[in-house]
Amino acid sequence: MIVLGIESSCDETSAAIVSENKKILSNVILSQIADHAPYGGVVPEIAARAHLDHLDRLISEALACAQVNFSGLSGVAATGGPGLIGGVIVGVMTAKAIALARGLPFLAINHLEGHALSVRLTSDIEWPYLLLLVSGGHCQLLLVERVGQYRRLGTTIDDAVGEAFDKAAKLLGLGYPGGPALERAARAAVAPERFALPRPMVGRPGCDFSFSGLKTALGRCAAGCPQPLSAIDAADLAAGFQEAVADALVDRTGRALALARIAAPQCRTLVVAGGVAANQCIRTRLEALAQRAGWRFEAPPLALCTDNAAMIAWAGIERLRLGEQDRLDFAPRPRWPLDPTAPRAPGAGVKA
Amino acid sequence: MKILALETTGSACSVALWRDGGVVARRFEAMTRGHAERLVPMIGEVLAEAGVTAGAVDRLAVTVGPGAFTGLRVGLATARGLALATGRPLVGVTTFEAIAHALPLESRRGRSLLVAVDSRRTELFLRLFDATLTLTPSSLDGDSSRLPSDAGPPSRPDTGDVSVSRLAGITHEPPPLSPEACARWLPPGPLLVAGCGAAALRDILGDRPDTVFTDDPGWADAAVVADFAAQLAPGAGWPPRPLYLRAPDATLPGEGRRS
Repeated sequence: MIVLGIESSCDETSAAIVSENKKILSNVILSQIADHAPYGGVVPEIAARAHLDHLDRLISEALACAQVNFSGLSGVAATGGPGLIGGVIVGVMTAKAIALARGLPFLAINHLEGHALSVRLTSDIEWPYLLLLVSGGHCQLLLVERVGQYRRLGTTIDDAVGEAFDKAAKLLGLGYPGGPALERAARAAVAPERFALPRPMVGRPGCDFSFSGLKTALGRCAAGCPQPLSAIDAADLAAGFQEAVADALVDRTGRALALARIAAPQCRTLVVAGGVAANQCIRTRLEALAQRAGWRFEAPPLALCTDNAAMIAWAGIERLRLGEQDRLDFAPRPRWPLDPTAPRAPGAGVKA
Repeated sequence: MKILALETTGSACSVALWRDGGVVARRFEAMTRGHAERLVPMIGEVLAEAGVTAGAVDRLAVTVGPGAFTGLRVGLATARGLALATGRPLVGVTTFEAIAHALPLESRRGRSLLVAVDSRRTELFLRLFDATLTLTPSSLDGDSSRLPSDAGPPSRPDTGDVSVSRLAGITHEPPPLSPEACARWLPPGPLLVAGCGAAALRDILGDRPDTVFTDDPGWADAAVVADFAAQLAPGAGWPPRPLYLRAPDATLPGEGRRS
């Protein structure tokens, strides 16, 4: 079984060919970072235009690179949401057209499900497992019970964690994208503890997240420093912010470990996925948390943590193996919760 | 020869299959949204009705805009996906051409034709044809001082669009104009006004001598797109790239929002 995957829900256009025996035959990714950098964030209309300009060529490249042609495919999977709808539409329509023309099954993949299952592409992991999904658009704790069955234990009530990193980096003048820039700056820190930054939600019941207050506090600390911000101050602020985020993630995830064990006593694996899983400080802290609890810790390789089409192709394979496919009248979904039964987090915005 | 045409740039979604001289199967549904859901099933219905497989189509055609950005991306992404999966050539047809070629010859005889497409703003996307449907160099040629004041070039640095730079060399392509600016821009002579944006020009051009309006067709139709594509020589026509005619709405830091 070989599946073509397409990802176009944010600022990466990607096409990949993945086989059932867990081989990534190709995974072509075109980043739009340079297109959006002048604006300090992703501009939806610019993203949608870029996806359309490049996607068909990237699919050709992915096929050529994998030495597979359309007749060798068993299905076409595309991110069907959630995400920036202009880009999602481009990926979904391209996939539907290929499916129709070649008589292949079409699979509309929930982008979050792509992240949730990506770890199974590189490791042998049994159900259930606890997933911390941390990216530019999402921050959720999910109990992954099996393909298509997810229980949300916690979510952010305001900003996603990657979004918080972007905003903090912008505030400190560190550039875009903010995650890697802030992590780099933090390495030069001397005394990060001299800034009193809050630990949002730490100690509170449940496993929800909040990062907007931390961002505001960072802004206040930065404003209290001599202007323009010196490199040392920026580095200490960056490290202080990163520590506060890590503390919050560790506290919330620690609570989720306990909740997961109640819901599924055999659950012993913590998986971290999403672009923020690339942050070494956060990764190390979470790994230590798992170790203390006697849990196995898994994080997909970095290339599979950030948005990519291989994880979409893999989710397609997982669903195809269960005999599932989607109809060609599928409507792209800007909002698409993995766990539709989860109650709305108090005060949560549309991203929760 | 078999041609499959798609049209999704306006308030309708349509698919047509042209075979050896005429359209043999067609779907046309009025809709302001929902193109992404209906388009591919409609293609399946049209192919089934004509008894043709996608792989047996010789040429693909799609409207490239101008029109609703989301709509034109639905059509173009689908058409480009079909072209990729079948290896068949894909030709672009502008919304202007699709509307112009739908008009009966008698209604156009002895008149210039102004096609106005709704831009979902005050301005209209406009193009002027002569009675033979050849594009007409406008009165703007060689006289930039007559450029209407609200018709400056896109203010943003990056249009992200190859087609716009291609258009930059075509002097008869006006930027989106307000109805008032359009009235100043038009050359004298008998005129037929058509397209979904024609209604917005009625008040302004109502007193213009020898000016006739038609609302039909307001929207492009894949049947006309297929017919028009059949007349094109191989390699002719527009590249299958979007014709947005407007830069993305995005404000650079420090630029401030313009109204």
